[in-house]
Amino acid sequence: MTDTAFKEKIRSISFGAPRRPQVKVVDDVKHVELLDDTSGRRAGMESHKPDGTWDCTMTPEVVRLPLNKES
Amino acid sequence: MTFPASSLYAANLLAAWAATATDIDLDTHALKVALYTDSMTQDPTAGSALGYSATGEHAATGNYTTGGAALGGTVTWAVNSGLLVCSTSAVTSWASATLANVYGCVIYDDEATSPIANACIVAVKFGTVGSSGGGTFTIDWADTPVTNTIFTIDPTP
Repeated sequence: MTDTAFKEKIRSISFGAPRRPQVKVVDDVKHVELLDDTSGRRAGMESHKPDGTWDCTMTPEVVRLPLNKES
Repeated sequence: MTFPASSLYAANLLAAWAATATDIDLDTHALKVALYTDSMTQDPTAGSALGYSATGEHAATGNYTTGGAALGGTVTWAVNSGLLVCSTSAVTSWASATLANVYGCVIYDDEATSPIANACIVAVKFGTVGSSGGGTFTIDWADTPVTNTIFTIDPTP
């Protein structure tokens, strides 16, 4: 195994494949999951309706302020 | 400039905690939420008092008006698992909204006059860019550690 191939294998083991956003259709409304650009965690949802409009729900992470701690 | 990392407006909060107290009031004042694109220019951690700014704010459209909307529900402070938790009793939403390129929001005190008018409290960056096409745009605050948590302060050294 070449050094490059080894590094790619380690990377795939460490991080796995990027998660794909979930898509569900309920009552003709297509719900598309939005993923965080950095962490890949769920960041929100778009709900596309048959009339062409869509809702958007953002689910931000909690803003955290640590006091008296080194960053 | 783009929307900054999520952060409390440090200088405003420090002023609020000082002996010469300001009139920032999370309990009784009208708090508002404004939506911003990546053209926002404020840096909440720069060290100076910052108030609401229209720079980089999403343009008024449909039910979204400049200055944003009232923060839904009642703000509550509580101690939970050693954290000071600021939460609200409702999500914030705009119906019939056509919004694009929304990177985050800023919560500010619409009645504060000191240390600066309309003092900003917290900038919340969304995990990805949001848009709504004539439907409802909702900010569904996190449900940990309590329902609709906006921010937490960890006082443990």
